[in-house]
Parts: sequence; structure tokens; C-alpha cells
Amino acid sequence: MHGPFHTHHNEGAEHRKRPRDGGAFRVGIGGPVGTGKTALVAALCGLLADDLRIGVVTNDIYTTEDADTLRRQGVLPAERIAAVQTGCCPHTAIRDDITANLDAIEDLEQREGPIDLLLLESGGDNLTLTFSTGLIDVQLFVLDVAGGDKVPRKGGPGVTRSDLLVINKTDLAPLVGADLEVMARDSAAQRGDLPVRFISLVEPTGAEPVAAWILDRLASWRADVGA
Amino acid sequence: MAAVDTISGDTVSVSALLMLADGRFPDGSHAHSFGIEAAVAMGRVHDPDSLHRYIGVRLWTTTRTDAAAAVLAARGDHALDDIDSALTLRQPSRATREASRSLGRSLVRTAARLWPGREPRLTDGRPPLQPIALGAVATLAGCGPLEAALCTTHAAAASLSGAALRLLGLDPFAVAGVLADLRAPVAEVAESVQHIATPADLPSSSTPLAELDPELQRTIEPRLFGS
Repeated sequence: MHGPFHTHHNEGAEHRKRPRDGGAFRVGIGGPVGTGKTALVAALCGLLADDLRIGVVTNDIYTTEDADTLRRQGVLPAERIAAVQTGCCPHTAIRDDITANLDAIEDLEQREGPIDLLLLESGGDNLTLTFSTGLIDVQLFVLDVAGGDKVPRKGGPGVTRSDLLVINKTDLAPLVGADLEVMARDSAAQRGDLPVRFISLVEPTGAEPVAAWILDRLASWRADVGA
Repeated sequence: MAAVDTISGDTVSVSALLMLADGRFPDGSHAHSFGIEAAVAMGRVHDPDSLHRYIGVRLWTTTRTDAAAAVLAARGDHALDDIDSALTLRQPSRATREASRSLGRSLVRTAARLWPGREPRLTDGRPPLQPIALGAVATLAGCGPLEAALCTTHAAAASLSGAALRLLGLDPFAVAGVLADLRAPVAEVAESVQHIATPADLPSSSTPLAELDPELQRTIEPRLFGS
């Protein structure tokens, strides 16, 4: 039963668990390019910033594009938005080698004081994107209706395993001939009991279903860590 | 295989070297081009031959200085502060110093999880520059000083070629060929510094483009790499 690679007796292993130091609740927001991740982050800040101290870390493909967009929109004090450079590969920076993101979070929390909610946005990648659990507490995967109603059927870790699947731009469904019923059915088939939210960000309140889900998970997380 | 014969250790220390030198080890370096993004932008590196020449020059200049610092840190006979000061003096480019400090921080973060309480730090708590952090981490992992130097020289060649491959879309077999052809200098540069005795003996070799490219890289918009 105890094979050669069993780490049962490794005394160091216990120390290597991600340390929880009472920092922010971290929410990863991933998904393909152009599905509305940055718009969702902006909308969430608009809905939640009155009640929570929010910080944002963006992982951009090109330097600081997404962070600059958020700063221009003025959804948060500029100092609470940090950008991580990802060397052509936002994927790697949120999954395989998360050190730069952890540095950015540490700097942000040191500079700005305690943060309640940290939104970590991926730079936009493909359906294989997923965040490391060493970096985030829960992750959202954002698809959009305009990308085609077949995308949920294609699966991938973002679709099948993310804690919340967000399907954005429902307002465009009639224009692009997308069938939301098909997307809902395929998502359920891929995800089992994991939740899905359909949203449109044309109205500023469009992100409310996602904000409510985050608040719910934040409350559970706080109960768990005794924060 | 002279380099392997003179490695200080046994199979265990070689396996430790393989772990540290593996691009999948989370050391933060995937997001850095170490200046080659500027060399590509200026057209100086544009194909496997120009890449080979560029890396060859960097190995015998700035990388050699780094490898010597790694040897001193791995040997542990001198305070990290002293090695850090000596290496800082030999890095005219501010961009290089800042990238090196940031990558040192990444290594310290990783080491703090792998060997809690034993991660290298300067007296004032700052992380050492990257080659010094690497030398200290190499010792923690079970490598000898020459292996720490080899890890530095190999990582330089691998990082520069990896960044060029991404930026130029080079044929990966051609890039693998460049790395294979560079085995001799990768080993020779490491061997050339293995007997360095004190921080004052650190080589001061550099070349203008090795200093200018990291500075130029910061002016590229949009740029893909952290350095």
C-alpha cells in the first residue's frame, strides 16, 4: 500500500501546505480572450467596493493593458490594481509558476493594508486554462455567447472544474444565433452539480448573480478560516 | 564529460541539480527574457545563428559573473551580504539588478516552502540577488558549488533561448540544437569560476549589449517579458 513514492513519512510535507495568514479571499477569473473578464472585474468592483476592500491583480499578455483599462474606469483606487508580466504566457503565471502573482499580492497587501477580496484576472487564454489552488481560493471561468454555443460542449478544465462557470453577453444571443438552452444543457452535462450563471453586462447591475455567488463563497470561507 | 566528473556530488546531488535546472521548477524566470526581447526588437537576434552568438557572449560575460556569485553562495564561506554587494557593483544596468532582485525573491519564496526557516536572506531581510539566492538554494537542495554554477550557466542559456523561441517563433529543433552546441561553454564557464575564493575575486566581465539590452527592453511597448 505504501509505494516508493508515498510521502507519508515526509516531515517537511506538513509545512509545505499553503500558509493561510488571514489574507484576502482570492478569486481567480479566467477564460478565453475577449469574453469579458476585465468588464466583469470592473462590474464586480462597482457592485462590491462599497462593502469590501477589493484588490485586483491582472496577468496581461501585453504588459499592463487590462490593469490600465481598470484604472481608467476608476472602479478602484489605482493603487489597488497591480499588473503581473507574464512573458508571453499568462497561463504559466497563474498555474505552473505562481511566484510573480504571490509577490504582487504580497506587495499589494503590504502597501494597501488588509484586503477583503482579491480578484485575480488571467490574461486570457484558451479552454485549457486553470488557476493553481496555491494562488486562489475559488475560480470563475468566463465564456461568452458570441464565441459560439458549442464552446461548453468542448469541455476543458475551465468548463468542467471551475467553481463557477459564467456565460457572458447573453444580450448577443439572438444576434449571433446562439441557443442559451443548448449552452445550459451542455454546461450541466460537463459540470454536474457545479454552478453556472448567465449574465449580460450591458446594464451595470448585470454582474449581480456573480457578485452574490462570490459573497456567498466569501462567507463560507471566512467561517472556515475563522476570519 | 569532464564537467560531470568534477561535479562535487553523487547521483543524489545530480538529481537535485536536475530539479533546480528544470524549467518547471517555480523560480519566476519564465516571465523574463533577460534583455533578449530588446535584441530581438532591434533585429540583432533573428535566427538560430545570431541566437547562438548572443548567448555565447552572454555566457562568458555577465553569466560568468553570476555563476561565480552562485559558487560563493553555495560554498557558504562568506556572508550573503558581502557577495550581494560585490555582485551589485558588477551590474551597471539597473533593470538587471531589479530583475535579479525580483527573481531572488521568487527563489526565496519557493525555498521558504521547501525548506522552511532556512531560506536565504540578507541581514536586512531582503532577498539576495538571483544568482546568490540560487547558490544558497542549490546547497539546500543538495548540490555542490560547481553544480550551482552549472545551474546558473544552463539557466542563462535556456532562458535566453526559450524567450527567443517564443518571440521569434523559431523552429524548436533549431533552438534545441543551439542549446546542444552550447554545452561546452555552459560547462566551461561554470568550471572557470569553481575555485573563486572571495567576493572581491568575482569577475567583472561584461559587454555593452548585455547591459544595454535590459535597459532597452524596458522601453519597448508593448513588451511581453518582465525583463
